[in-house]
Amino acid sequence: MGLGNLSNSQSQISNWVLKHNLCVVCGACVGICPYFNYIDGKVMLMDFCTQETGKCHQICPKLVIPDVSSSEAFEMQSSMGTYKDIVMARAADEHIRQHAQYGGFTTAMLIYALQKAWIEGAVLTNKGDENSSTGIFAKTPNDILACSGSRFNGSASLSVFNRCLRDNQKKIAIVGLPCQLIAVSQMENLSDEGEAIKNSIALKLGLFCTWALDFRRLREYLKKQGIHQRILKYDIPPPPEESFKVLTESGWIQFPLQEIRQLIQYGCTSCLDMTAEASDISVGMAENQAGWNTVMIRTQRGFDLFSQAVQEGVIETCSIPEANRIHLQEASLSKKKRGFNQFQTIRSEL
Amino acid sequence: MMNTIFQKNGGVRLLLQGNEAIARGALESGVMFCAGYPGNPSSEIIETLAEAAKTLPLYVEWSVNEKVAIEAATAASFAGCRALVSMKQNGVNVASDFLTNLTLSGTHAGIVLITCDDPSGISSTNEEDARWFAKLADIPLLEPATPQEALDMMRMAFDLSEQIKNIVMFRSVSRLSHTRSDVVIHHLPEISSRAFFNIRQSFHTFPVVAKHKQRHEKLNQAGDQFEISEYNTYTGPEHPELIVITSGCVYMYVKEAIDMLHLNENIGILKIATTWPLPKAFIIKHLQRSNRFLFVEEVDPFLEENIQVLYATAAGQLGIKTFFGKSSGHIPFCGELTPSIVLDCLASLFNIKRPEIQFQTHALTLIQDITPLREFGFCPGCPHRGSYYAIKTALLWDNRDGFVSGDIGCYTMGIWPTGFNQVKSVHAMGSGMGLACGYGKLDRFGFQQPVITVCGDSTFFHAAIPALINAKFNQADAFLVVLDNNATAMTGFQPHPGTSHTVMGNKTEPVDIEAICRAMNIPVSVADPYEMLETTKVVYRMLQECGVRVLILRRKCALIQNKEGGFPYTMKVDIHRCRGESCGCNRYCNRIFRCPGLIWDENAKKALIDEVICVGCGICAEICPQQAIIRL
Ligand SMILES: Cc1cc2nc3c(=O)[nH]c(=O)nc-3n(C[C@H](O)[C@H](O)[C@H](O)COP(=O)(O)OP(=O)(O)OC[C@H]3O[C@@H](n4cnc5c(N)ncnc54)[C@H](O)[C@@H]3O)c2cc1C
Ligand code: SF4
Ligand code: SF4
Repeated sequence: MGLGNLSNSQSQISNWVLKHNLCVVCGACVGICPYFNYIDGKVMLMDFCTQETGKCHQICPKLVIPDVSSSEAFEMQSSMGTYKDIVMARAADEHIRQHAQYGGFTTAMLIYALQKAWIEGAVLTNKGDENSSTGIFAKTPNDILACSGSRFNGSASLSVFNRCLRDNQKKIAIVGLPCQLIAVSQMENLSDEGEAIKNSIALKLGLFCTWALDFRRLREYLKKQGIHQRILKYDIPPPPEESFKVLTESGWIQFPLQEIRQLIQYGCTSCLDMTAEASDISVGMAENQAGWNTVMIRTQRGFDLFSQAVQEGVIETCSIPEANRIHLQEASLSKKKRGFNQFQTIRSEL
Repeated sequence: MMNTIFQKNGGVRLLLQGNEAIARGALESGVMFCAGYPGNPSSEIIETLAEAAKTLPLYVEWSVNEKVAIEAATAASFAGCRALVSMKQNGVNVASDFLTNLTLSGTHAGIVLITCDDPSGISSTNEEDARWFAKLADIPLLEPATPQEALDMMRMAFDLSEQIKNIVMFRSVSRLSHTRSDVVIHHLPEISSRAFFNIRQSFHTFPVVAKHKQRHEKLNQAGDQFEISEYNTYTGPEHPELIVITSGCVYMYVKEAIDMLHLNENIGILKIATTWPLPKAFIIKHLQRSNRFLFVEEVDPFLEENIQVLYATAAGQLGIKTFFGKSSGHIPFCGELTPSIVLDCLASLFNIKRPEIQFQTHALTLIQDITPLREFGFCPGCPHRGSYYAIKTALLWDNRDGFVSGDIGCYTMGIWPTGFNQVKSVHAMGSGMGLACGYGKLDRFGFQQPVITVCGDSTFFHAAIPALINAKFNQADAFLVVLDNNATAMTGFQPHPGTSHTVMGNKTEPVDIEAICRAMNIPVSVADPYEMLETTKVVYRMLQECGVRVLILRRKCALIQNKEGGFPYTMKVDIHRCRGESCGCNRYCNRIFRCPGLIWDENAKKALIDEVICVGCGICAEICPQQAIIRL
């Protein structure tokens, strides 16, 4: 692994990821050492570290090299990774659905897992204040509910996961974007600590993701548009609406998606994963079905928990229209090709 | 010791520091009013006089800055009281605006401006020769070579000032100010004069040309006296091969070098103690003795240039002469002179081998192995370490290439690793804020970097206030952080307007920095630099704001805290938690944070608290990523 002849662990991140603005603010490198900080939507290098064999470069998702040689290698069939089942689902509890981004599957699933002691807590993303959202380790149903809804920027929530590991926390659930789950896989594969890390994780819930925004630039943009209040909720309605909506004290405000796309984190443009392939269960919105989620069951662990939740009536399901599945497959494939080409371009510039 | 310096009787021999000799000389001259601003190497003069004020009838103050000091002292002169004003070389720059006008208006009772220059800038931001101000402002300049001369020439300075009705400049340098030698003191006079401003006199600069002319006449008067001054001497053979022309304490280096080289038969020394105006006839007389001359003086070629001009006026009569010195490359232009440099120079001019200075090489070999390599660093427990750590962190969080505009005080060390290399510029007192006024208006040219200006409490009063007002008036985007440690710490804890007592020990109402800012309608916050994370958040928040804003980082200087009862904690490193060099820490505390109290145990490969050095401020507990540094 590694790109170029960079001499130590940290410099692979500083001279490649940070310098080329590839960081997607997953937070994997934050919280293991004092050299990286996360604040207000950004990961920063604080001081120079001389470690040759440190962890940071081994876990950063932006230092993972795709194992194909051309974008032609990607196929429709495998563009969403491996999964056992794909369905539409939602929280049975209407209260949860009201708070949640779409169907509240994520929130309901977590609360259920907590109550059944599958997990002891969950690494989530809070709502933030005037500063950006950050990671939080939620240990009660209320904590979990308070984190529902999507913030469309990297929140470095894996830094909280790192802190959990330091504190020897067990039965951890992680809700993460695709890049975050890639980082978690990298952690699980570390030669010395990997096994222990793996054993401390009880559930990986992945969120679908096309891109995330640069929080500071988004705040700047909103300020320029005269919005200084706290944002209570964000939404990107499915195509063809082409808009980005924010909920403030004074109601929903809409912005052209075209302008918002200028604020996408550069690192996201070279990402190949849309459906969080490295998760137990992946969750996204359901096309043309407001109030529902698209859910992909990927592992046995995910399947067991999901079945139990459905059985006990916590989660309601229905089958997914074939057209929706195909659209998702197409979108995933095109993200892979786009991301790979962009990765090649960036790499050739090093 | 102290009371013997102030004894009434003369004729006694005392061991005095150069600055004490200057102070005693002033007392023997009947000085009544003394003002100054602290700065190495001058501070002990005012401090000694303040001590004297406990038993003698004089007034002493630390002024807010050197310009105010000279103005206050001048008022005393106008009102018939002998006055003294003392400062370091940079201080003369501050005072110079008033000085160059004062020398037109003239003075009444004797008044002396003492400048203590700091060759090599050992505790200064610059290396400067303040003597040029004497030439610039047409005032007499005296340069003693020894503490005894310093004491004796003080009397001469006051008398001369009173005769010509103009201020006289008196120059010392670090080595003279801080050397100790035995000095014979004289009687202290009875002071009986009453302060009174005679309203038939007036002091102003008009008509300017007439006053300028008068100033030159006064200077000529002084020149006449200098021709016969006992402090200008020639020693040596009647017609030596070389004459060294020198002034100030380097005279002693010259004597020593000539002795060591056994060149007493070959070299003469022309010592000039009245360096401006030059005693022309006296010098020309001695120029006839030889054809080769070497100038040895600190810092600039002041005598060297002025005497060569004088020589040009008499070259026809004197014939061809050769001059060596800084211009010829025989004496270095920059840096403090040492006996060794003079030795080298003379040896090369006479083409002989210089003797080794035995004790020097010996001392060097002795200490070589035992003295640790040391860099400039904040004391253990210093609040500035916490302040800069917070500033550094906040600027990185902010991520817009922000930087610090610095100022003068202990915190100038922010230019070095001890302050995480945060400070990017340092000039004169208050300049950090002045620069901030400029950065704060560059947005129209695309400037987007945040700038934090730091200045100490004493510096705030000294010269930052006008710049702060300017920023407010011109609506600059400026963020001032006042590092308020309740002391003029760098120069030795002199009181300043923010402290509650004066140098004479009187209680005084402290001037409140917050109130000053509020009066200007400038938002001001206060934080504790020991609470680094909290402070970082405040700095970060304020970085996002615009306009003029002030943050006071308040925590007493570690040395004051020590005096007032010390620190709350005993520190320990939990070696089971400490990760040492491994991933997750990599010696963060002693590699990055660098308090000298945090050291490295080579054998255990773990961090360690140096119990002798650590004072127990406890702030490092916050920075350890593994929480291995524990407050007990
Ligand atoms: C940046 C981003 C981009 C997305 N892009 C797409 C997309 O293109 N297509 C699509 O179908 N779905 C996308 N999603 C997923 C979608 O917005 C919902 O999060 C998902 O459908 C789950 O819905 P829910 O009703 O179960 O959520 P909820 O029950 O409300 O739970 C949401 C969970 O997401 C977590 N969360 C919120 N913000 C973040 C964040 N920034 N990083 C990590 N975790 C976070 C919270 O901790 C919470 O637990 C995206 C989500 C994010 C955060
Ligand atoms: S992508 Fe994640 S691991 Fe890589 S630098 Fe950014 S926050 Fe750190
Ligand atoms: S407690 Fe820590 S920071 Fe304070 S003096 Fe001791 S070692 Fe230095």
